[in-house]
Amino acid sequence: MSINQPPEPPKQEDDQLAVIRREINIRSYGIIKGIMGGRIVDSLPLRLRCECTMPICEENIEVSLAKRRELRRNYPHGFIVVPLHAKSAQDTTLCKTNEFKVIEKLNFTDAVTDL
Amino acid sequence: MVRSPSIKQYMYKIPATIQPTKITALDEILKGGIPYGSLVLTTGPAGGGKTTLAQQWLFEGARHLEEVGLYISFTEEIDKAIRNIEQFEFFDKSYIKTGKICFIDGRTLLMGMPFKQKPSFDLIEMDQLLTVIMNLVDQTQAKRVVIDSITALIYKLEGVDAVRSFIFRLGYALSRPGATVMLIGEADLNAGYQSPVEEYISDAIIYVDSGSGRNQQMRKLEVKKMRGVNYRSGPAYFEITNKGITLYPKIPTYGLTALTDFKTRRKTGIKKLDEMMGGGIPQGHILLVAGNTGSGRTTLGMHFLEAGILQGEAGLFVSIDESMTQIIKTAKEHDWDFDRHLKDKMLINVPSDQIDIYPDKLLYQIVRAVEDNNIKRVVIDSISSMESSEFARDYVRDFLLQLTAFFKSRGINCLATYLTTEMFGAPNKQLMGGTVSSELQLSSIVDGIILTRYVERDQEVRKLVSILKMRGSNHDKGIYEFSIGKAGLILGNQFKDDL
Repeated sequence: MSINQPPEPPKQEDDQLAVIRREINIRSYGIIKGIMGGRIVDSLPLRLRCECTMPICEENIEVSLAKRRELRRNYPHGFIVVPLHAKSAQDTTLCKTNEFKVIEKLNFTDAVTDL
Repeated sequence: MVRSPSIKQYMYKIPATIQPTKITALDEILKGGIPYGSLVLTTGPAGGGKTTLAQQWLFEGARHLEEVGLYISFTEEIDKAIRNIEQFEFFDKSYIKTGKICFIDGRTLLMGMPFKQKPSFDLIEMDQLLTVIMNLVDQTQAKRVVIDSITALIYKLEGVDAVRSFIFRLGYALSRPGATVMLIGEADLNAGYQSPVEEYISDAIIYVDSGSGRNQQMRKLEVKKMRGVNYRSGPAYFEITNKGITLYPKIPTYGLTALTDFKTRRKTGIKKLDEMMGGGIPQGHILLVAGNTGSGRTTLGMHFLEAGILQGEAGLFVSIDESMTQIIKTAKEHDWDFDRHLKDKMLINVPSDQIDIYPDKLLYQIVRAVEDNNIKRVVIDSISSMESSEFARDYVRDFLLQLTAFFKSRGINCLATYLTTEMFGAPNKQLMGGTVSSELQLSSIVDGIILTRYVERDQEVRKLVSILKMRGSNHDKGIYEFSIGKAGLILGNQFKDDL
């Protein structure tokens, strides 16, 4: 790819992986809730698997359940990824810390309900 | 926890990074426990005790260390898994009710995924499973996680890479919060199949196996790998009873200081025999009392114990040949009240199965009894029965080596009886006849040998006793006639062969 060429448009199938990973996080919480019932504790962690589009990604993001709830509430379209897994050219960063970034994808703007 | 006896001898500080298993004697083998955050593969053939070991590990952790445990089953219904362990003393239903231990049906962790209809997991299903397990550990703050079995999961994964990736990610995700994960695997080294991928990736491998004795199952456990721990290698036998798993680890023979004292002598209670030995048995000496059947070996042993008890020294009788009831009756014939001694705890009995002898179990029981009761005198009746037991034959020498090292380190005296194979020892003036310690070369392990035997003279069978060996101590080399009467062994005149 030449430097003068426009950036490659995002492939929808790549982004689909991020959607699936976000879905896994949401579904996992549902299962945990089913198992633990009222014993779920907000202040304890509920790690997320990185919601990026990299085909091989084994990263987890350590956030408390309360923080995760806050992120989902504030950024219902967002994907929570480790900072280096955000594709800056294609994704819009909504929020960032040292541990994670919340990004938005052009092709997937549906709001998700989590927690 | 019932602490293994020999651990007192090898007391060490357990670092904070080590998680004691709190399973009797397993921590001794592991020199403290398992490093927190380890991925432990517990593997072996069906019926070896893998699941029991894992479940006991969870309950002991909850009981002794307040550690939350997770048991995730992919092989059986949770109700059934719980029913199966209700029989064990380590089981405590309240731990399940209070969430200290969570039993989880692994299949529910994939709810919403179409995996049930598929023969294998794809990456997404694997991802979900890992995420749920990780979240469960996060929220329960579990420090002990059991996945039973990893083999059942691996069957659902396609290819070695998927297996490697799954196990690696599982270990990584769970070790971060400090949870130790025990994966139950299926392997049978005897049948030639194993789990190479899991073994390479795991930080630790515990192999449990079961073999058959003649009338009972013989189980053994071996730590094959434990990163960061200088564990004790070699197999340890164990039993599964209503207490759960009880291990019988070997006693290390290195580093023990012998408390042998030639100035301190323990009397046998047979005056002339004590004189033959220079005033009794030197403290810490282990003697083999070898002889033909009925030649007075057991009586000599009982004599030795009775003499000690009269002086306030507690004794231990390890009965392999005869039941203790029989021994008590025989003792009564000599006016020795062994029944009373047992009640007073001046005499302790360690019985043994006569067909399938677990040498390591016997060793463990002896060491426990010695430590718990301040035993100074021990009689093992007989070593030759262990030799004749199919299972124990190969271990008699090891058994005696360990026991000797242990007894010497405590300054204990032991008489081990031994049945010689030759009935008569004095044909044609060959008085040294009689196989004393067989091909096992037990004679080099023990400090002394007392030989009892028969001889035919003047149309009658006479009994003879002699001392073949007394390490580091002069002794009478004469051969003496003796008889057994109400007062026990009575030594007579020196035997003169007038043939």
